[in-house]
Amino acid sequence: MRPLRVFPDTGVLLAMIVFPRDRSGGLALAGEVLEMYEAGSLELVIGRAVVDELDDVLDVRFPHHRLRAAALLAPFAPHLVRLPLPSEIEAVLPFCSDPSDAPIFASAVLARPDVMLSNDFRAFHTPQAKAFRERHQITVDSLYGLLRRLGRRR
Amino acid sequence: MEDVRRITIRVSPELHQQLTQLAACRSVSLNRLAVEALETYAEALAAEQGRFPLKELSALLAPAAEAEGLTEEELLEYARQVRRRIWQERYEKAVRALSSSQENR
Repeated sequence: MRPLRVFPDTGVLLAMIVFPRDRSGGLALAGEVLEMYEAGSLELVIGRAVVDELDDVLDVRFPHHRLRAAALLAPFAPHLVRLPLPSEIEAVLPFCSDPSDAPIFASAVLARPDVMLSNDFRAFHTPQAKAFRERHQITVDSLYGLLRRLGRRR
Repeated sequence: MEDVRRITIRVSPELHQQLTQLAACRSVSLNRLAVEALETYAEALAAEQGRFPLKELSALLAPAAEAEGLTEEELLEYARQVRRRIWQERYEKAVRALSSSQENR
């Protein structure tokens, strides 16, 4: 059986990278998903639009590690889902409570994942997002929801 | 004849013996066994290159965030600001223009 194809939002990707453990040192939900990815239990399909946001965040919040992070990300560039066209972004605007989320929604449509992963409940877990799911047959799930889906939570 | 290239590799007597025995067990030549092994290894390396370097990035950035006392809430709020800025700088004008042109038709 092929692993689940998961399209992470920038926030989830940042949580997996920067906060895999909680304040007590235990594995956070994002850390559990990271472990499952490393174990090959799920496949990540990542958008150029997501990595562009990640780049900007790392530039400003982690300036001393920027060059090393860029070197780590560079070999992955050919595997990224391309940037959406304006027409593709315009098509998903009705599904977005905030228009700035539209490039990410449009990237998810291009990626055709089994699950779009986001813990941003203001943006991706709204009635509009539900309509997006129905229109494009893409499930939008939280970290907890994904772990449930993968049998790690009841 | 099939287009092939020749390479010469040096191996220890122990590995040579092991490979010869494995080839015999599989009823293939030592050359065929070596080609299959190299193909498998090349595929594994290619797959590795397709893996997003999450673990490596995490090993680099998680300790840095902890040292600076950066919280997840702060970082995610900053990411949201970045998203709005990228939208305004790169996409908004083109997308709005497209919407307007469609409304005018």
